[in-house]
Amino acid sequence: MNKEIAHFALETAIKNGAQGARISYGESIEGTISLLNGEIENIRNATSRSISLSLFTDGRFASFSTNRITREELLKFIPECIESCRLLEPDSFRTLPDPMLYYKGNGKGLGTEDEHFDDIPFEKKLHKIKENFEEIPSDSRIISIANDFEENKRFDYIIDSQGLQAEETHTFYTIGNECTVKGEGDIRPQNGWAEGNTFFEKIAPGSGKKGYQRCIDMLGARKIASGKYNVVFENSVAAKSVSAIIGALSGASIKEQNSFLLDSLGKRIFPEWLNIADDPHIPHASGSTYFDGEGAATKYMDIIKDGYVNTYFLNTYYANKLNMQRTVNAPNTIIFPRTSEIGLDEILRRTGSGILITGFNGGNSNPVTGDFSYGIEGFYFENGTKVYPIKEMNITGNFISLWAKNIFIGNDPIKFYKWQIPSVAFADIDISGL
Amino acid sequence: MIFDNTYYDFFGTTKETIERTLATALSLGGDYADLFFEYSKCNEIALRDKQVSNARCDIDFGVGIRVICGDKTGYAYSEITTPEAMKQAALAAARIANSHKEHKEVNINEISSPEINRYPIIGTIEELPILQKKEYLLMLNDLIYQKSEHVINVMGKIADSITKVLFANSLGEAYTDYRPMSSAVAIVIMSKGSRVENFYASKSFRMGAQFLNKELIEQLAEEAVNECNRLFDADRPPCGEMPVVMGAGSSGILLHEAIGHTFEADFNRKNVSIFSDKMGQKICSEQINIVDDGTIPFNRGAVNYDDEGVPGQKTYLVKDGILNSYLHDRISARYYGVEPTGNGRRESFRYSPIPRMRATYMENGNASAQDLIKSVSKGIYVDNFSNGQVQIGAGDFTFYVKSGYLIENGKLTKPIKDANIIGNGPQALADIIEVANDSTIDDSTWSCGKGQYCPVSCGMPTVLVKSLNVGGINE
Repeated sequence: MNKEIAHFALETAIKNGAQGARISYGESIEGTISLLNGEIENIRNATSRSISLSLFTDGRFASFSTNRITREELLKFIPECIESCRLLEPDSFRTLPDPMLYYKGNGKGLGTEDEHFDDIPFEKKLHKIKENFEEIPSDSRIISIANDFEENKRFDYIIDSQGLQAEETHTFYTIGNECTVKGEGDIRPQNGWAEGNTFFEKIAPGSGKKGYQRCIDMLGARKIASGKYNVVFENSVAAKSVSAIIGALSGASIKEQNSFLLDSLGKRIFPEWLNIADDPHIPHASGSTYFDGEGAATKYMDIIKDGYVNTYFLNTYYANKLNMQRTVNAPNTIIFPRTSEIGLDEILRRTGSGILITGFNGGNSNPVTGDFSYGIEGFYFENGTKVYPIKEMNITGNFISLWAKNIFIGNDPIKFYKWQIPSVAFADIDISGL
Repeated sequence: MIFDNTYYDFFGTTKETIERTLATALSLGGDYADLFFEYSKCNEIALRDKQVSNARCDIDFGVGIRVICGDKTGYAYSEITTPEAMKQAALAAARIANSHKEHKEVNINEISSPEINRYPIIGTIEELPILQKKEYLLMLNDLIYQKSEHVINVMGKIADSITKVLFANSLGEAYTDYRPMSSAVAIVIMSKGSRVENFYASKSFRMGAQFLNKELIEQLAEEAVNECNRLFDADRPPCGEMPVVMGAGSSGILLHEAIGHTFEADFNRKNVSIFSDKMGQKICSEQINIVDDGTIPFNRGAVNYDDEGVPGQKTYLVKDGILNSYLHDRISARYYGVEPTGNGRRESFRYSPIPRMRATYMENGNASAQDLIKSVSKGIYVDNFSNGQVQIGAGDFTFYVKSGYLIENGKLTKPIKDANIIGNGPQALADIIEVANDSTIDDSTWSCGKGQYCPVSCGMPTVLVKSLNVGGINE
């Protein structure tokens, strides 16, 4: 970890005329092992370092990054950056944050680092991914099995000219697979599953078998008639039900009037039972962090509380622009703080009949209206039981009216996802099929 | 491109060091190795609140080292190009093989093809003073506000990059390439009564300073305002399966998603593409010819060489309705016993090259666009898109329609918007029943994601697809 070069960059920026500067220094180590049908297909190793500079010069602002971070290169690069910055128009809303908001701890305590990351032998990783492959039963319908092991370690160090100094290390491992099987005609359904964890030894087993089963379950998928259906979003894809809401609450969206949640702060927009929060301090969670991109300390924050919009995501610039209090640059670990007592099976049973969505295929939403249209696949279910798989269909609606039709929220978020959204169910939704 | 010897110094290396590093990469028995040195500098300047008060610049530098052993790939990269750093990366990549077999010495032969440069620059866009770029953004802002009293916000961006590449491989081939890319974006937000709409318009070319001019800015402003205006009259379409007329130009997204990806040879080599067993077979109407082309001057998908040293070229994927070729990198070409097609591309030195599209388009047919619309009694016409996706094995593709029209009794009637369209690739291709004579390449900022981003473009004449599933509202 080369913290010294970050301090050199900060000093160089100030010496060359910047009145304020923030330096973010990052180092990462990544590795991938890929198997195809049980044999190694790819191995990839990578180590990266880079510096990002946010420069405040003569009332003007610009940002820069480089991975050429010798002193010699920075001595050439930084003065050029400052000169470029001076050619912009002044923007008095661009400032460093109030130092009172800075994180002042030592970056430890959240348990986001596997201290054994550098010591795990290649053979052990290979063994783990081969186990994943071997979980998949022999089946003549299988065309291909791809298994991937990915590891990542990232060190972040952030300092600024107001005395900010914060650092954190995160590690994360993923083991996943994708099975391809012979379907009807030329169709080759594919599906898979991945498990992840901050700690190598805690990666849950079973993803190979689960991925295979998810693939086999999609054999014989068909389209059904267009109409209004009850719809359940499985926990693996339920983030889709809130992603546009989170986007619409970003400072950029609000300030640029590019949001369907303009002027929504403090208003009840969603049903009273909907609660969404940002909890950045869950031990060992992949999204956990003590500070945001400006070095401000993170904290638990209600996003939607009892159906009311409780916050926008405002960094210093957007807070200044909107004349509001700074909150957080962007949410970290999104949770539903008040879930229910029921899991997916019970949601299906209580919903009765409808469509269980287990995968999305493309689609998008309109940021200013909240209208959406997405391709879907999953299962048609009756009496709470899956009847047959469906595919090549679309779900269409609007995010505000979707949540007005919410009937169940489950208790089953996937804990290693950054957005831990449980299975959710909605009534009377437009589905396009035959 | 003429081989530029100054690139050795620029990347802090020598021909001899490269030869030694390639030998190290093959030292554990690899069949083939290559080195991809890359420097990129990306600049961006942005308009917000009628002011140009934000800019950024990003520099990336390093060398990627790849070793191929049969169908297996070892890959490592280094952001430092000292001989020792490259040796360590080469040894890491070399681990994919483990036979210690004898390998030949590598002697680099620097390749120059002075007759080929698909993106010559008059001057780098970087040489244009920020003040001049600023003027263009302010012009964009003024033009958009002048065109409509309903505009409530304008955002704009000019982005430019240059990439220097030095490539060498164990076959002894080495080339240099200088790749410019410039783009301009306008986002307009308009309000009428209680209704708000937005539209994103963009242009992008492999060009230097010649990219920016008044005409380009006027085109962007015009497109952004006109298309945004259209949305105020638009509603969601009815849902279900119906005929779809896809307008000329950006409808090439259909080819990219429905066909292009499934023709990428890595998927076919692994037997996971729905087209894996179709080579040489008739897959659609004989009036259909589909091309993936890296030779269009200044096009976003143009390549002098791909990212593994193969010259850019024009490849017929479908010729007279017959599946003619997959898109190959070196690995798949060797597997199929054919020549690589120049589709081995990568996001940067951090990634190993894989088969990727360039500019994918359909050639002209004989019908007229008007006749296609007239032939539909109830369906939709679509001509603006934001994104797409495909499932390679199932062949199910989607693309999101930002705007279009209903077709009623052979005429375009009510505007429509915000609908996802889904279909199955082979079926949709077979369902193209008419092709018009107005093929157009779309010059927007198309990027393809396949684990790594890659600039591409697409094009299409107006076509009539017999039936696709339209995500709309139940009537």
